Amino acid sequence: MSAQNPFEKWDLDPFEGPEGITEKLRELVEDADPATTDELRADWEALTLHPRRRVELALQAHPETRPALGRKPRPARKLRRELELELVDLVALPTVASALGEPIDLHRLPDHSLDDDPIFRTAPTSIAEKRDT
Amino acid sequence: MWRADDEALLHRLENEELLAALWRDLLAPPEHYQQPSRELPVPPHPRASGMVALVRESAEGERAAQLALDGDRSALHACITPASMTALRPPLLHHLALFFSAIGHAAPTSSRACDAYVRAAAAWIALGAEGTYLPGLVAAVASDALSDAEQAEIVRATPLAHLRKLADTGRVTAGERSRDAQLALRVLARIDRAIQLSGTRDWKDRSDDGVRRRRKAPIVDEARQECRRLRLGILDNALSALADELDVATGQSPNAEHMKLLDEVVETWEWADRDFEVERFLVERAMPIGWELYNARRWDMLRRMTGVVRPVVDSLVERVASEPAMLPYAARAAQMLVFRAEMEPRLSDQIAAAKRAVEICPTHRNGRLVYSDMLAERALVALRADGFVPRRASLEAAKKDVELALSLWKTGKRLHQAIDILRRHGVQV
Repeated sequence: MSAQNPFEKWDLDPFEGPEGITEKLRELVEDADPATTDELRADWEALTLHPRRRVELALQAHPETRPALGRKPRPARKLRRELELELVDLVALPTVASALGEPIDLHRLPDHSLDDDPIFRTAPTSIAEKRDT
Repeated sequence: MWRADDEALLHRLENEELLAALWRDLLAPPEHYQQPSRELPVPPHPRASGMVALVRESAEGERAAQLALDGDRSALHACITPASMTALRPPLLHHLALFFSAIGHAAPTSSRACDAYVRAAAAWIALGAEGTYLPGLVAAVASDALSDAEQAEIVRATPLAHLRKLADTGRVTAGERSRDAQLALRVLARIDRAIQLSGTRDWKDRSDDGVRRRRKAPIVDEARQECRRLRLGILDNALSALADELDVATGQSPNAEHMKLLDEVVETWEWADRDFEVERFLVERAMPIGWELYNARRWDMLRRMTGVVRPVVDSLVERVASEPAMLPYAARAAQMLVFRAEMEPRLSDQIAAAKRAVEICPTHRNGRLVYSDMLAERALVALRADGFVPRRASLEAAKKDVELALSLWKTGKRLHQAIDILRRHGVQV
């Protein structure tokens, strides 16, 4: 009997009453296949719709007297030395500049201040100037 | 880093391992470990390992568990099979009741199953006597869905429920003298052992006058009465077909068919471990058959009948001789012995049977008459054995027999013949 006792089968606490039982079984249904869902529904009915049957099954279930389990250990943090190096980590990657085509001699670019920049000189500097133009 | 949580998990796994080992020990014969010829039934749900957890709460239990983990499980077995369950906490009693019930259901032999069921019964009786755990559990699970009266009824019925279930299963097949029915009879017959194991005899209570007295819990009497009722139900089913056939045969002249039916009753008696109720049934049915054969002077058939029922009659006679409560059955047992006395081929065996009949029922008319007549016969044999002049020893022996015969029954042809011969040789009785 105990192998099929729904309290044991689904790890239910008889003391939680119909509400707690329903909540727990609902959680199980979410991940269950159709056959298991049918089984869950049948056990739910036995445990919640028939109080006398619920009591009988509770009496036939081993009481939960195992000490509670604690938390699982946290997953271990990976240390730098534990990282595995790949080839990409060792090879010098090309620069962005070289990827643009002709190499640009950055030293030959004129060094103008923004004040001398013709783009900024032709644009109106204020709304008033813009109205006048 | 070893945490307390890891320790808790280790304990749980150890307890599950110990539970599985206890399960194997109780179900498998020793030779199984060398040559596992059959698969053992699946152990109970891991939640049952809470039983081991509770045992380990005591220092003695923890020691037993450590020994068991090292390979020696004898101490742990002793923890779950105490001589008295008085000191056990209710949750542990609940575990034991379910665990041993499962063992009984799965046990490979009747004797192991019987022992397990008796232990389960003991645990349930102890829970019933304890008085708070079961009501608390029922109330918590049922909450408002059942009335107080319904809850009380469940609490009252629970301690004996598994015995009723065992009996119901046995009763169905009792007519075939099945293993299930035989097992149920054996378990129910050992209710006193279960009560003793439960420790409910040892309750002490302070009465109104302040004096502590030993009392037994009400469940003790209820358990005995219920087990008796259940056993009678099984036996009734086991004998009902034979009863019907004997009823049908009542109007007929006793014949070989009657003997065959009586023989089957004897087989049922053996199957039921020589139960008194079957003895009573057999004697009640055999007596009218015996009288009919006796009155018709059908000695061969009567001799056959006394032979068939002999072991049952002997058992009933022993009960009557040793148990005052069996007094109402003394007359019937004595009459069966009288039939036997008449049918024995040797005088010494005749006298032994007749003497026994009078011993167990001193007022039995037929017993006294037949015994007296046989004593007289023995006296005559002694007086005639020496020829014309009996020896003194023979005269003394005959006198003794005649005097005893006179104390039982004063008339009888043989008795007066013996008295006459004794007087002729100068011996007065």
